[in-house]
Amino acid sequence: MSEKLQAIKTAVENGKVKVVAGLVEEALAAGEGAKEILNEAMIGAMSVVGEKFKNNEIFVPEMLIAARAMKKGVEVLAPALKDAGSEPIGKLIIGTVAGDLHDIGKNLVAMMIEGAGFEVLDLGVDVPTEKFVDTLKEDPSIQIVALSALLTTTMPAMKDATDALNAYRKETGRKLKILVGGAPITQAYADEIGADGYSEDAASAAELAKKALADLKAGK
Amino acid sequence: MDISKELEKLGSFPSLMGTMPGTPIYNTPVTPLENIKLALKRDSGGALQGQQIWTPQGGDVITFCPIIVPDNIARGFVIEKNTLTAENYGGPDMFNVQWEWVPAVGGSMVRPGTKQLLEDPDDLLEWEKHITFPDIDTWDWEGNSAVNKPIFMGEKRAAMAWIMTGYFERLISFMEFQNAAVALIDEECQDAVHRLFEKLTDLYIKLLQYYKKYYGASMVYFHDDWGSQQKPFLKYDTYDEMLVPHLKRLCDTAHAMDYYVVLHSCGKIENIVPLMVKANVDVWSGQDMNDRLKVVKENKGKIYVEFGPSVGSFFGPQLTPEEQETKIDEWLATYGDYLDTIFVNTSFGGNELLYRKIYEYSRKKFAK
Repeated sequence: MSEKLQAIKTAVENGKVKVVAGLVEEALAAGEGAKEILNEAMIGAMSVVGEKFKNNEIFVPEMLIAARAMKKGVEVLAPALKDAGSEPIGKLIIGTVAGDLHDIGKNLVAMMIEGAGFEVLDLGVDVPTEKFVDTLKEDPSIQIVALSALLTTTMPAMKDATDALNAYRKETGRKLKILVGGAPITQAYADEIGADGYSEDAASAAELAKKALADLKAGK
Repeated sequence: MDISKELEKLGSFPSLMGTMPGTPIYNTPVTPLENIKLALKRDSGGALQGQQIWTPQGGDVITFCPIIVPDNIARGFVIEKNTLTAENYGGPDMFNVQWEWVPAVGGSMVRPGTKQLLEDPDDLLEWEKHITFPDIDTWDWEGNSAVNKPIFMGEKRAAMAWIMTGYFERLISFMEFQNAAVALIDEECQDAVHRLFEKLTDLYIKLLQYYKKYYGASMVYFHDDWGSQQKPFLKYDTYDEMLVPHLKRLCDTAHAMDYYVVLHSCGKIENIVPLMVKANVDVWSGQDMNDRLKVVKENKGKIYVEFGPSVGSFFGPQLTPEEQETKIDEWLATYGDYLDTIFVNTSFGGNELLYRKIYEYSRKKFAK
């Protein structure tokens, strides 16, 4: 990796929000490719951040500030990415299920998945089941739906949403992955309600989303 | 040792929890409050003396959340002579932050998307322009205490006032979680955060002065969530730098006022218990995902841990007396050796069998 890219990677990893934009401008001016800046420096940095979070080397604020640094860099990079024909690696919608107002975990997951190169559409909290399905109907490019629940009392709403999404998938034959997570959710519960994947934290969720996308591309 | 006379019921303390039965008054050698003081008395070096006669339990405490403190209505915990039904919970707290009562949770939260007092993260730098501290001197302490004083003043149990929203939770209520978390590690924000926490500490101390003067409170239950299901939200050093100094000032001042401090924090945060010890917290009330056995083994004389066997509660599913007895015996087999480092949570004093068994076990153990 070039010195310029390494500098961006380090700045994103360390959450240097105020310097990333300038470093990206410098890298572009020096002839670095927009895709390389995004993939090798920024997404690479967020991958390291995810690992460090899983290993308890960093915690929530450090992860958040790294994601913000990346966002600043992407703002500068966006026109060059468009010129280079670069697209997000996939598109995902995320929301906290009906009856549940909690958004902390959901927001962290959205941020890390975005950091992995996805376009993320956040439907917010207390999202009615129909809203997930309607959003899919409106946008055929969405490949993954991520559902969050913090409460044991809203786990049934997660099942309702998963049932509706599975019914939609069966009815239309659309290739789609359903991922779930949240404090009371387990792999066993995800299996029981017919979700395609479960992750226990935001960093793992980004890995899970990438795997789900790979599975879709492989026809699984 | 025959303690059967000590467990003779002399009557019952009145219940403030709706239709929940009152807590029995037993013929104990000292009052529950005196026993808690024996447990929490510190020596000149700050070590907890641990001279309790039995292991203090939830039934030895009377929880107090007066209606005149707006936080208690907003957060859905009004526990005093005046009661409120759940549909009246929620609304503005003492900083005019709007909370929403969530029946499924049995608590309140600020709905995501609600306009924040510190809408722009940079507002934190000059929070004094955006946040108006409540003038609690204008609250009707006299009027409220006229109804509640007969209950709380002179109680034989420890009257424990709650402060529902601590430092981190308060910051979250002002600027939502993500901005609050980042502010704690952002060098440009840290001075402003310290100024805010300083002033919050002053406010909480003033609340304690009123709770002491008007109700004779002797414990405070300080609520500040520090962790998620899996780990602390923050690095150990961030807690140490940003939260511990303020919590320590609160605890030290509380001790000087003849209070004991229970820190309630959800989340898996057993690794930061040393920081609670550093802040001179007396009791940590946490959640079941923590390795309590490890914590009590390592912290005798430093801090008490509040927890207990899950025997069902007034609010939850009930076990048969036989099932409860089995659960309690299993719990004692694991934790019985460490009862001198434990406060047993008995769900607002709602389980008589648990109280009696813990009393008997610990009374005999400590008498040796």
